[in-house]
Amino acid sequence: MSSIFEKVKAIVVEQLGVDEEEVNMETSFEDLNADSLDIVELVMALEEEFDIEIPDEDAEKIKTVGAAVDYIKENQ
Amino acid sequence: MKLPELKIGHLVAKLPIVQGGMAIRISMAPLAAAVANEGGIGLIAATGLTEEELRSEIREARRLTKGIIGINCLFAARDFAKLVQAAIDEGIDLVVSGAGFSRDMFQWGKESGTPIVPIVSSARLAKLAQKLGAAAVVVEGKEAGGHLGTDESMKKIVPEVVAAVDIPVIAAGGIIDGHDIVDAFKMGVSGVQMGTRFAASEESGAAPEFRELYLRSTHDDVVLIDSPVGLPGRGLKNSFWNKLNSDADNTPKRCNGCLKHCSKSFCIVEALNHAQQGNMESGLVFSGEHVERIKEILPVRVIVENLLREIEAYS
Repeated sequence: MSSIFEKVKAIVVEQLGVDEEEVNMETSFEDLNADSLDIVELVMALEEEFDIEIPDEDAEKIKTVGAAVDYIKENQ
Repeated sequence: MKLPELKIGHLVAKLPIVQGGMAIRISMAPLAAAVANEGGIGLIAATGLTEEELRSEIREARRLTKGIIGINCLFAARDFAKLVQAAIDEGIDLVVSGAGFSRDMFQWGKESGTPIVPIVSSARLAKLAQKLGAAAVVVEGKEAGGHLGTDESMKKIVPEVVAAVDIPVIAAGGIIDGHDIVDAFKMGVSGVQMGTRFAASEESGAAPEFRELYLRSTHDDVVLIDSPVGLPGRGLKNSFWNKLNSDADNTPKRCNGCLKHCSKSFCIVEALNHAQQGNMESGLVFSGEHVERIKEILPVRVIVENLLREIEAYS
């Protein structure tokens, strides 16, 4: 079974159209040139993949791949 | 042409005109109710109000009209969730929101049966709004007053949004007279939103000095400012605008953290409050791009009569 990070990475690569090599735990979505709408779509894709709900307030705090992975671990 | 009814969720407005929400305290109960009494949709601007003030404003509007009353709230406001939930609790007819994108509000709308109408500036965001359950979208172009989400013209974005979604599309930005309304309907919209024209009404909450500046301003007086919200805002040249463009230190002396993110270049709440109260030395006057076409402060009833006459004459 692939790790949460691997799954998040796959979603980030698909949603933002970036190369796998660009995505590690420290990568911020800003570094990947994601605009606010990209991030909304990304958060929605994460919700679907991991069957969780991420309210606005929490979504605003998720700025890096690592933050997304941690949030999913804590809330799954 | 005969204007069609505007249907948003279960709501039916006989007049397909939405009065844009104008903060702070420009569109309050008297203005919203006057537009609703003409068959349109009146919006109370919730941003910058306390929860108690908003509740009492909604009750006052209900006393003044049986028509459709909504609120407009800035997503960037820290109190966004509290204000929208209070309005829903008061039984508000619809919620319009811009300046950022909330996904939570669609859930609140679903739970309470309240139509949610986001303000969008691109087909991409309109599609996302539809997917999340928006009852309609307001498409705002660069011609609009206040905070802007785009530098593109309404006439460019509207056809793209009309083609992209199945929900009603309401055009906003630069609509002043009946010709503008007919032109918008020709692009396939279901309604229009007008702010500036109604800010210059008798029922507007703006001080006389504010409205006089509208009547005096020419096309060259319409400017963009960098709002501390992190978006450009369209407004008018006045003493305060001169101060913003000088070396003066405008950073806030007090701050209650009313915005989720604020550059603190100046206090926008204080500047908008002062403008509403008529203090042009320290007040920021928001306005749409075509303000110079407004020649008179009129009662809402007369504004609507004029629009309908212009629509008939033009088409």
